[in-house]
Amino acid sequence: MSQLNEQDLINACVQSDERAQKQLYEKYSRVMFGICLRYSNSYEEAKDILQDGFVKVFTKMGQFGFQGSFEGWMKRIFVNTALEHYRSQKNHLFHEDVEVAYGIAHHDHTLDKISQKEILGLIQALPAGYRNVLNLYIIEGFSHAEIAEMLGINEGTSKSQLSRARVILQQAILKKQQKGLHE
Amino acid sequence: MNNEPNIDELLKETFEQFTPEAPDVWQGISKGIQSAQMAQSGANLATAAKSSAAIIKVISAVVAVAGLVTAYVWYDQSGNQPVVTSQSVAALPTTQTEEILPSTDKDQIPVSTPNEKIESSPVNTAKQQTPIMNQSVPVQEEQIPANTSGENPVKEAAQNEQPRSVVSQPEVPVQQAQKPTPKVDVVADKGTKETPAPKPPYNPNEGESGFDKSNITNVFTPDNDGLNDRFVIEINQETLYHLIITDGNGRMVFESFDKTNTWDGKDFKTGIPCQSGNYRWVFQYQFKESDKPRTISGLLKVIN
Repeated sequence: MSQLNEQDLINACVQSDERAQKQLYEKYSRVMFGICLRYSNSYEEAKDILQDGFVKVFTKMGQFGFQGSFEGWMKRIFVNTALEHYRSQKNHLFHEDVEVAYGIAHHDHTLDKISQKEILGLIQALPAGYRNVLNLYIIEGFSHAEIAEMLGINEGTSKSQLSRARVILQQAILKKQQKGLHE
Repeated sequence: MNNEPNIDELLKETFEQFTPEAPDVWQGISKGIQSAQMAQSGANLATAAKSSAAIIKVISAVVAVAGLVTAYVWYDQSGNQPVVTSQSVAALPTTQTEEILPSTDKDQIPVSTPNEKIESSPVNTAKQQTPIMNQSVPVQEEQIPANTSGENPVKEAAQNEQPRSVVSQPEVPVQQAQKPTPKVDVVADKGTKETPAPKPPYNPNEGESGFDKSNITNVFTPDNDGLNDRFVIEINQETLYHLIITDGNGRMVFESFDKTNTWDGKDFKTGIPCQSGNYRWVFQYQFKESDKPRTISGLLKVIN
């Protein structure tokens, strides 16, 4: 199939045209997988979310009314899928006791020497609740009120989880850098 | 401490352009879309089954009404007051469209008719009436004369009591006889919707290469007591086996492409035992690659 413009592509997908669906999948899978990775604790989980998210996109495509960007619409679906995933697994995987170090070291270390991959690893190591709030607030740009509603938690919980997530990340990054210096 | 904004900026920068190499999950997506469509059509089937069940209820109600009228005719005949029930016959078509009339209404129709119609010849009516009624409700023949013959003098009282007892009698055999039909209907509906193959999609006597839908349980208790702990569909020599199970909200709790992988009552993604309640299974199968896959579905009660 030759490259269609996005609107035609979307319309073809609404008609369940499999080639169009595949083309759309190929176009967006990397961006969406980025989201999946950020909201999961492992590559495998991210892969599951990627699959479920695309199934949802294709089955709900008729509901996209060409209002606003299609990519934005898709991203929201993926974020929701990731959160649903978290909810359905929470009974198993939830463990609160993470070593949280509160004595924060100096802030004049340059943080940006750390690679994308390493930061992703740190985010994935966060407790899922923290990770969700961190992603939703910092990267997706939702307010605490919105996050509270999305996750079914208090606004205060959202705020405190965010600041604890920052603290944990900060600490972990410093550790990495110190380790790097000594080796 | 201004390290917090630092983290925020770092994260934003890091993930502003984040397009990692994605694993190829297209096959899974493709299957997922198919399953979602199956679940959707399963839900449609459920509503279709419901409406056909409603139709059957109406039909059995109509048969019951017919029985009632017959009973009345019999009653009148045995009471030596033969009545032309052309009016009551005429009443039948209207009740058919109107669903079930309350029994008091039915009582009233006959009560008013005798006075108006007594003059008509008794012989005619007996000939016209009885064959029709015998066809629709054969049970009446034995029941009604026995009940009524002794009670002729007490006409008013008998009229009030008798029809009620009659209503309950025809209904039982009628419903029992018709119950299997919705199941077959479901299958037939499916055949026309998803697989437009003209041949009947389900044959209970399909033998070794087929399978018998009636063997599929509709209740199971995944409590590991050794009885009914797994939901099993027995099928042999199939070339396609695709089972999905959805909960009351339409969420998929199980999917399998392998007949040895049967459902143990747990959510297959989380491993958490599902709550007691009603679930729906949708099963797609075929026996030859060249055949179109057939789909059947049914309800399943899980008791934990």
